[in-house]
Amino acid sequence: MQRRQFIYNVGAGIAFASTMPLQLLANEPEILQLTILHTNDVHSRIEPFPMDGSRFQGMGGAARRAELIAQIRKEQQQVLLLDAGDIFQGTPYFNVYGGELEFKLMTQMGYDAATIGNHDFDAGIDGLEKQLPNAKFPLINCNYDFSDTIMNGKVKPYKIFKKEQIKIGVLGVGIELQGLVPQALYQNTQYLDPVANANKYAMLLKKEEKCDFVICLSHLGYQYNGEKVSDITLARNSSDIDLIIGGHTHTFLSEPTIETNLVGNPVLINQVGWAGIVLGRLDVYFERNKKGKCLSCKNLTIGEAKE
Amino acid sequence: MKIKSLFVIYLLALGILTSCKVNHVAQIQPQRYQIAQDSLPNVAANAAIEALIQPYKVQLDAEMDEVIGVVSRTLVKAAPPMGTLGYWMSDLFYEQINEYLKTEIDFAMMNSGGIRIPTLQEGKITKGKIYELMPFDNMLVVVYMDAAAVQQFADNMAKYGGAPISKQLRFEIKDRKAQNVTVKGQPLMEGKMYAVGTSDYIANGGDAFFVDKKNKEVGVLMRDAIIDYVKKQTAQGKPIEAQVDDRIILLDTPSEN
Repeated sequence: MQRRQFIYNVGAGIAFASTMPLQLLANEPEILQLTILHTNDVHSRIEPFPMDGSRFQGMGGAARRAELIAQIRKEQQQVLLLDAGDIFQGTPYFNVYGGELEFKLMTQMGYDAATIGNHDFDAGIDGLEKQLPNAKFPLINCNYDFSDTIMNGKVKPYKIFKKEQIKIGVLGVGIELQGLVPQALYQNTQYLDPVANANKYAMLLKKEEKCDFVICLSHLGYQYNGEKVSDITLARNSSDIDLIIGGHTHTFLSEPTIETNLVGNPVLINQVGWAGIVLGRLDVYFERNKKGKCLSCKNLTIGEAKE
Repeated sequence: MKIKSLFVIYLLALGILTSCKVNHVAQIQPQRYQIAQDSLPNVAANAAIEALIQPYKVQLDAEMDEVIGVVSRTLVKAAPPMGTLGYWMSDLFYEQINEYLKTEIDFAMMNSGGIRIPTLQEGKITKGKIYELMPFDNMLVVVYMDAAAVQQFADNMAKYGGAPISKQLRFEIKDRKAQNVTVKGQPLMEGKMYAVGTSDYIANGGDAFFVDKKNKEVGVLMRDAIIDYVKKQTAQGKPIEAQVDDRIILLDTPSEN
């Protein structure tokens, strides 16, 4: 098992982005950087929370998030912007416009992909399908069978992104809809085993498509008491997923969780609460070297989080 | 030209040299940004995004300011028997569920935690006010339960000192238990299945009210049911009103829960 050093700059502002954890020397191998930005459960929170004395007053809002993303894009070459679902529902913007503005804003911010949350069915599967032309990014899910619905053929199990020399596979999984969403809304969408399907497509992405990094956008939820499948369950029972970007449980993780998968490799899980209060960022550094040889991976351990 | 071809050769050579290389994940550095002016003083609102939002916002604000009805006397969120706001809501959910499903349920109940404003003030009410009253997207459901389950359900409400129920259900509270429970004037009957309108939150075990798991989705948000009801009343020229009544009678002072 190859252990890795994770360096934490929790709560750091944008200035920290220039702090390279790997110092490049002339004779050292090439290091490639990928910047992953992510949100989950934004729930139609288009404007910041109103200034009414409530806990999150003044926080969030698409306009400030968009500006932050634009600033990061100026500093970073390779950016992937992702969302883990429940884009819809939570403010009258959704009730009145059906998700049109949510998708248009995400398109303008340059989202690369999103998965589907349970609340994304709240205007019915017809309502979701109707808004698809406003989303110039793919909705990704591998465990909802839409073949007997209006969404047939409109959702892909995964998408591969080439960011210069880095090949990234992104797949998506969704939560069981029965009991959570009225069937009248999701209609004949069939829920399939999220772990089995995520593993199937992750293996395809890692082994056949030779992706350097496999990301699972998940709307399963971070963790539950009991048997219900969660991101923790998925991470422990996976083999080829490197990172799970989660949602549904509105969990504010101060740092990513590291779980060990079936073959002894680490899997990161991250989730950034809800309502667009937090933008998550993960800078992934790749060392370009021969197979089985990685100088900067050597002698590294999973470090303590630095505050 | 010469420099260009040399460059191409260099690129080809680089390609051969690097073709057997792979990208190892060396390190991952996490970071999180709180989206707020205090934490990001150098990140202003993006003007293009604000311009995209603006027309939607103008139209939305106009819609939320729509007056949909008139309240004749201020409704209040309070414990029984004073909680006219909760009684009004449960009564209207009873009526609306029957209308949506073209059925006749036995009674309705909601949790007082789902009521998010202390009063619905006398006078004109806007659609936006109903969103404040019920910002959560709870759905109406019908839960089916037998007589013993209704008794248990009422006992659990009694532990809270009562709950917002519709007027078809009546009971007395003594020693944190429900007694003399009646539905539509009849005592609970063995063998009868009661159809109870409530929220998906309660039906899924919220607030620890015991209920049977068999339920039927109405497919309507509770908030939309309130708006539908208020508009219907208004169309009939009726104000919104509710009185303090004796559907729940406190025979002793409930202890704090």
